Amino acid sequence: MARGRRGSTGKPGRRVTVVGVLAAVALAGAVAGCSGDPAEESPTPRASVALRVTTVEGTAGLDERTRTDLETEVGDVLSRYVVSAFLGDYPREDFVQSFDSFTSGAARRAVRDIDLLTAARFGDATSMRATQLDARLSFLVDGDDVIGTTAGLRFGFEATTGDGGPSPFTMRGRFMLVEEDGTWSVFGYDVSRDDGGPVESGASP
Amino acid sequence: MRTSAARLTIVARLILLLAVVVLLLPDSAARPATFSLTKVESAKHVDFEDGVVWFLALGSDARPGQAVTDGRADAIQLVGVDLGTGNAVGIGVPRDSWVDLPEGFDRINAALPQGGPDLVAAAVADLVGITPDYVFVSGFDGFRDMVGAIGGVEVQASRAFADPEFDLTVEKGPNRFDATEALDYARSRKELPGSDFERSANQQQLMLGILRELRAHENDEGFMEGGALAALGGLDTNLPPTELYRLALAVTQVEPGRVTICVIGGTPLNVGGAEVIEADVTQARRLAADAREDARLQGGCRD
Repeated sequence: MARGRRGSTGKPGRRVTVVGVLAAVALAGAVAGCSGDPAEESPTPRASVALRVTTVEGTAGLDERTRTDLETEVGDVLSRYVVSAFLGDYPREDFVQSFDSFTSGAARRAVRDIDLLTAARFGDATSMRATQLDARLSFLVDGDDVIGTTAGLRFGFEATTGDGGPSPFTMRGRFMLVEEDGTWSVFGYDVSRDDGGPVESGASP
Repeated sequence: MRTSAARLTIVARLILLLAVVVLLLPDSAARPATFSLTKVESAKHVDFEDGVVWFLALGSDARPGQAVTDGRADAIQLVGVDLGTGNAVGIGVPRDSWVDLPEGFDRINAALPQGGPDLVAAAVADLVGITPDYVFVSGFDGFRDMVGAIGGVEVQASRAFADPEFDLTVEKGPNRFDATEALDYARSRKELPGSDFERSANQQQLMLGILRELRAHENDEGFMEGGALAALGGLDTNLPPTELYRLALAVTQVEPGRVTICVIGGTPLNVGGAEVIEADVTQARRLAADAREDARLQGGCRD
């Protein structure tokens, strides 16, 4: 059941201020990388950018504090996802745990799409950092009841592998979330993934 | 001493020679030609329910100030959606279908004021053989609000007609309707040769048009939320708000090309001076058997 929210106001609903700076993301990016003989270590990767959460629609009837709370709650879900799905300590294989905040049905399906929803293809990388983490939220609020939100995502990452320079890739699209019993869950996704690899055509000379 | 022109001639000859060598020497292997085109992959899924979800969409003729469930159900559409495959089916039920209700035989549209959405669902289940999981009832204002929230709708009309009752002119083919025109199109019946059957088919085309609008704008920020908010205000339903939101987003997974539609046929009857329809129960049951498991009419609409 959607949770009732207090503090309705007549303030404008479009909110473009960056409100979420999530230390967990930046920290995870900064500590990413393999350990070993310092003499053999590659240069320390640059730190990940922070996740920026912006509300763009749907909160016109809510007061400032409630809006901030919503952004923080949804931002926390997205932050945990980014860390589990893309950052963390490399090399790694534990990408399947990235869907802890998904509904059971969405998680089952996400496992099938794990290559597009996580950095599983870069599991052998030596480090990973986020170059862009933007989430734009459109809320569905009925009176005081916050029902759900669509998060428009623009994520960019850079994987460092042992056999070459950084490999940039992006994930863009939407996550759909609902709030039930005070918990936000991802029940849908619609994303596109560009891993930067050129499409090759086998043309004979 | 060579002049600069002579040096340029030598350089040009060397470049030409090099080009000839490059062109004539065979490659050791076929080389893929690389283009500046990157491969973008996509993934989409919306979790609602497994299997086919059946919902009953009712359009009430309740007048202003009247509860939508107090009006008669002049639009009765049974819709099945298989969110796993993206198939969907629409089965239109003629509103004048003569059915057995608790207060005696009556048109099926009288079930709404007699016993609410549950009685309409039960009457449809008796007729078709499929019990809807959810029932939505919309009144005139609610329908207008919903269509208005998505910016109008484009409808493919099977015929051109004009209905002076609604001051509505329809061209054959695509028509762009605003919210009021869309409602008028859904209600228009008297100028249609197929009367109630054809109106039901037009309502199905409206639903398809709305689906196309949702899919066309689903990536616009706030679009789906605006539509869902209008639906929350405009619908009487047994579906909780969070589930309605999830269903709205899930339905956009359905490609219009994977939707099959049919209106149940019937025979006109005169009962005590009232023109009613004896619905083709055999056809209705055949449609249900065909679509029950996969939300698809593979056997077509008619025999």
